[in-house]
Amino acid sequence: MERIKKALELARQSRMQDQGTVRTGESSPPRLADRQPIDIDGAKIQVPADVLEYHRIVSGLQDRALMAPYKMLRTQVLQRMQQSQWTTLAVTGPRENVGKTLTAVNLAVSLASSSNHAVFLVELDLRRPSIHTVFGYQPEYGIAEHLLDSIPIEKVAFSPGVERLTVIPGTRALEHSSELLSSPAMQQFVEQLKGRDARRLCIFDLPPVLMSDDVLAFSPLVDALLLVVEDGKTTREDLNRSLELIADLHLIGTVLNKSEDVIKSDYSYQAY
Amino acid sequence: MQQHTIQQHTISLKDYSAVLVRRRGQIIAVIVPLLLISIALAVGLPSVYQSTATILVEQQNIPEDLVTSTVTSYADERIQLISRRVMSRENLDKVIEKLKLQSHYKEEAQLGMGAVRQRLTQGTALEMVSAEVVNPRSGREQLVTIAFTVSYEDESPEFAQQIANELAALYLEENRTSRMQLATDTAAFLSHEAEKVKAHMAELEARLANFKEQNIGALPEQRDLNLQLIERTERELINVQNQIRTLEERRIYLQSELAQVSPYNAIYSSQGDRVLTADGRLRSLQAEYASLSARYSSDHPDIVRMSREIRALEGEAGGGTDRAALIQQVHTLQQQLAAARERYASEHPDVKRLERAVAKAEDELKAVGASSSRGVASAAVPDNPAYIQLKANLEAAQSELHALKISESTLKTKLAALEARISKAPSVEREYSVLMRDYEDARSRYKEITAKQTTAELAKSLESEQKGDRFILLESPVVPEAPLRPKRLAIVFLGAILSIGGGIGTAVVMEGMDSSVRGRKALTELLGTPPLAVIPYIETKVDIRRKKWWRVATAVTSILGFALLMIWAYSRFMPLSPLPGQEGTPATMAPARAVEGGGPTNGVK
Repeated sequence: MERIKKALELARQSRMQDQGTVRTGESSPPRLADRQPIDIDGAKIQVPADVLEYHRIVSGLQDRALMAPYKMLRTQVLQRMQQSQWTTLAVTGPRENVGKTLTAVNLAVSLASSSNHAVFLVELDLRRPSIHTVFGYQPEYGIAEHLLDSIPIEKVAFSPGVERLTVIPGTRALEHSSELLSSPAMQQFVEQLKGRDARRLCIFDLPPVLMSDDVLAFSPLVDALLLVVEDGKTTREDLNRSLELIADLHLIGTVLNKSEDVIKSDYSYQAY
Repeated sequence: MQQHTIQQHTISLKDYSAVLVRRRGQIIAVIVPLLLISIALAVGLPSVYQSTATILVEQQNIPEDLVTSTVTSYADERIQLISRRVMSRENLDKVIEKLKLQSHYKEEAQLGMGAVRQRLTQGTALEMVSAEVVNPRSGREQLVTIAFTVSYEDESPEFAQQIANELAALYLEENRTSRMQLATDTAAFLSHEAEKVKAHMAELEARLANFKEQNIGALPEQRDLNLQLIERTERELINVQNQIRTLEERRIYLQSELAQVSPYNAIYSSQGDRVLTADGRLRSLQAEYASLSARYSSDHPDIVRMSREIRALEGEAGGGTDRAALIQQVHTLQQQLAAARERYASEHPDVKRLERAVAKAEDELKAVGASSSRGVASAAVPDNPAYIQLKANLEAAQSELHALKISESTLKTKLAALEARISKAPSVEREYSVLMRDYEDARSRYKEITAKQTTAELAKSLESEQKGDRFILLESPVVPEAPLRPKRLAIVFLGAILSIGGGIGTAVVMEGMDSSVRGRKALTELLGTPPLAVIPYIETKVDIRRKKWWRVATAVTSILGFALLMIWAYSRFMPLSPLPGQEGTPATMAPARAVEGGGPTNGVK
């Protein structure tokens, strides 16, 4: 009952917005809410399978069994987000190379592939953007351009051949990323992205929490946080410190990445 | 806001095996080099051979009670001492020369003779062989060194044997000469000492004799004699003194008697009257005159008358009687004077009168003197037998007294001398006893030394006839067949253990130092909730290819490394020099020996 009520409420709100001021023109960037919130007509690209495989994207992997852990992750994430009615998720890790970008990408791919959610994957590691390289795609414009230079979002976003997945990459390295992340423009952007559709999921790839204050700067704009831990490399001190720093956020859970400690029985459970 | 609880990580057995598996790379990286090194050593180390000579320390044949050897140290000490002498520079040089060791030890020879000698010293080993032996005196068992071994190590078995042989010979030789030397030295020393003591003794004897001579009579042994003499002398002295006293009394008596007796006989007439010859008359007148002249002066008429009478009488009797009468007068007056002196003090008038009279009479006698000499003898001779007798007695007494007095003084002197001896006796005795004691000491020392000297001489002959303790070569050194070291199997075994231990140790240490989060369980415990998912490491084709490549590279490198190590070990440790006298090629000699050297063949040739 609650759910139906909420859905109706949201639909009503979005219709109201649509009927609201329709702004077109070059003065302000086209708002996502003005359109049908489901699709952004970004560039559609085809990523070759070997590129996907090289970058360890699940959809390109030969060994289908490796999809199982990501399925598990997807299921767990989905469940919790729906339970708490969260729609935005930040993915981060203590330090570099823990595999957070990969995790974010694969999670987004998994979510988009097998649920009826629209998934937006946003590059927010503005100092070292890497999502575009994962798809082997060099975009012309990135999110920084969209926010700062008023480039329309259609020119930035692309879809890597996975249904319901839209990727908003970054291009150039940005020096003052934390300021941008806490700016009103960013806030507006996130609001637009969220829309009022509960079936939209936004995954934000953030920089390592111990390497900069970007995560903390962005934390008011996001519902939950996923922490990626590298098995055998992340030290306990780092882990403790990271947890301290994100103590005020909703930690949806952790991911043990690059683990040697894998048992098949872990993936027999499929909650959906 | 969630509470993120951090909990401690507990360890299980599964974790240990996980650790080993996970760190297999590091473990292997430690194990393999160590193993390789140990194998290389096991194969590459050169064989060292040892040749041993056994020398028995034989006890002396003649029982020690009969001839005590001069060599009294324990076998251990002796052997050590002899070792030092054997390994002296001269001896080592002799061995080096004889066996031409400069060409055998080329490396050391380049550094100098000192290095070669050092090589010899280092290669030599000395070990004692002990046994439980029942001590004949105490009956208890004690550990006694009965033999020792001399060994030499060398990479060549032949050299080892030859050098060991030389060393053994040196030991035997040194022992013999050193023992002989010691015995001779002891005998010489003792004889020298004996001479010294003898000289000292002679000197003491002379001093003693001298002393005796100087202190004859005061010597302690003569004390009793001296006491006896003193006693006797005292008695004699008392005796003599008594005699003297007696004689003096007699003399006085005789003198007094003589004074009362006229020296001339009175002539009696037939009626019995005394007839005075002219001489007699003259004499009586003269006597009267004398006494009167003492009383009266010469001008007194009585004196004048009397002198006229006397002159007339003198004319009659002849002038010869003057002198005799004067002599008689003087004599009588003297007697009277003597008697008066005895009776009265010298101030008494009688005494004074008589003195005057005597003086006068003597003057007159002098006046008459030379003119008349006839009839002196007859007039002076007293003819009273009683008088003569008395006079003779008196003279006898006088002379006896005189002799006695002499005797007395002699005795006194003698006594004094004797007493002096006695008083000297204590100090003499002291000195004497000191001298005697020194002399006795010297004598006993001399006796002692001569006894020792005899022993030493016997010991010397014992040594010279080789009947003392001696070294006997029990086992001659042989050419060893099997090497002493290295124990190749043991090296490999030990190396394997060490390398495994090292590997595991490394893993443990690394693990301990690792503070990273490992495994799902660790993360779960740290957080309190399990992770949402555990993503394995995704291997791409590239990864797989890289891994393969890495494995191949590791294998090739380790094989290459091992091969290089073997080559190096071979070239470094294998002896390439041929035996002395043989000019064989190194290639044929070295590998043959390596195979003979035992240990596992490992097919890495």
